[in-house]
Amino acid sequence: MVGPNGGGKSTLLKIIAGLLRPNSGEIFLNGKLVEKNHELRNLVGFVPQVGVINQTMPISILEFLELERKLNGASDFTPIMKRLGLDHIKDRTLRTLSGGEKQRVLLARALVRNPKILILDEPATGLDSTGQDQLLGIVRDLQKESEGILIIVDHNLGQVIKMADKLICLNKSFHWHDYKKNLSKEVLTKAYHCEFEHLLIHENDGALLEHHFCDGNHQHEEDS
Amino acid sequence: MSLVLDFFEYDFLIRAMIGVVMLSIVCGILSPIVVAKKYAFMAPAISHSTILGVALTLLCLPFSHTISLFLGTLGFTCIFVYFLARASHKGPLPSDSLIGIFLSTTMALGLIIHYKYIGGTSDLFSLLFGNILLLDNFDLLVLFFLFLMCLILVVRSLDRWIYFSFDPQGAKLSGVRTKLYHYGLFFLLTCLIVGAVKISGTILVSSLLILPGTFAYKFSKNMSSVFKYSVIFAVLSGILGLFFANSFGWPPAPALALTQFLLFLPFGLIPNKN
Repeated sequence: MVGPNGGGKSTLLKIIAGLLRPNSGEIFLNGKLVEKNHELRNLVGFVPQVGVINQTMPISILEFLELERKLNGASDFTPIMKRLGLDHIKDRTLRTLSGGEKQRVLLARALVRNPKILILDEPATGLDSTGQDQLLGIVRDLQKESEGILIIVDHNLGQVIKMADKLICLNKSFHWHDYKKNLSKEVLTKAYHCEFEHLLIHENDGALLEHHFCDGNHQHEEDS
Repeated sequence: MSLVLDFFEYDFLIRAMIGVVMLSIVCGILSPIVVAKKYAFMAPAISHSTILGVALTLLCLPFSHTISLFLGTLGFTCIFVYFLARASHKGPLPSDSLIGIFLSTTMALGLIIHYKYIGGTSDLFSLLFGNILLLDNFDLLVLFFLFLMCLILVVRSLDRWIYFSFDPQGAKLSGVRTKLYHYGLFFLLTCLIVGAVKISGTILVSSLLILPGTFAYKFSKNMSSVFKYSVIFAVLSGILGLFFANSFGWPPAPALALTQFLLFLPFGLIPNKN
């Protein structure tokens, strides 16, 4: 899932995860109408952006994952910890971890639930390039093994196009979604560009170009 | 030595001690949750609204008995606090502004009713700052119920409370009914503050709710020790505070609050390792 900031990506993710009810429209899962939010919540493993975790509490990685296991009646999570390289730091508290480690802990928590749908909200945010590569490597492995659905929001367009089977591009005024062969990198770049250009126009108080509503045809770009 | 023996000799001191210990345990359990949720100032907000709660109760029942005064105050305060809880759940205002508005409005209205319609504000002082030496058996019973309620509602599902405190969204995904816990926390705080009227008064109870948790977070390396440290700190400072009050003739509620601070001070000055 790609698109500029404020395009509604996180909102859509929360709707898919059953954390929000849509104002309009319905949710279908494998062709079946979903009526209750908790039907979705039980299926979803959600990896939020790192900032949501409260920094006051000195909760250790082990306690954090154990909490998730107890509430969901899941099985032993030692293999998950080993796999994500958390085994040797399992007694450290979350607030002492680096950004990359925190992100892996959040991923581990989502995996403890053994989810049918794994959702990652901008997992690479705040990570250095090594951290990003590591994390995306893990995600790619998961993608290969798992039969479930993996939804990822990311701004690294090249990376996303390589990895994804399907893409959806959200932007304030419209969205595209289709098989990725129809959604070239060029189109995606334009979706970002569109927002960016509007910003420029507003900043220059309309001096740059006449302002016109973006209806998705990107005409104004060609005009200039 | 005789100052220690006092506690075995005088009924009112024994009652005071039992009351303080029960209140301290409840505060010790709730404090880490309050601190983690950054609700430190919710307690004073609720405290101040009890002034309005008492005023309305006295207005409705002019010759009230302790029991009806207690239940009336609790009932009215719960109604006000419901709006505070609702506004802080997903309201448009930042919580500090919300607290400021709630606190000053309820207190102002309460004071107007006290001055204008009830007359005399002598009771108000003991309401605000407590009078532990007047603790009677009914007060102890109230505290005991509070103690039981806290054990049943919080300790039994401590995992859920912890999850709710550090990541409400994740907790919701794992089936914790976060909205219920949010309102539940406000309800427990209200019961605690109204129940603590005679011990610490409504105002100073906030120190009992903030310092134990802060102390515990400073030294705990994992969650299981947080609640232990918090309860130990609260009980220890409660007992010491009462002892100081008896020894030096200090008013008990400020003695409790001050003892907590003094006990925290040497540890508070140690820099955090993390």
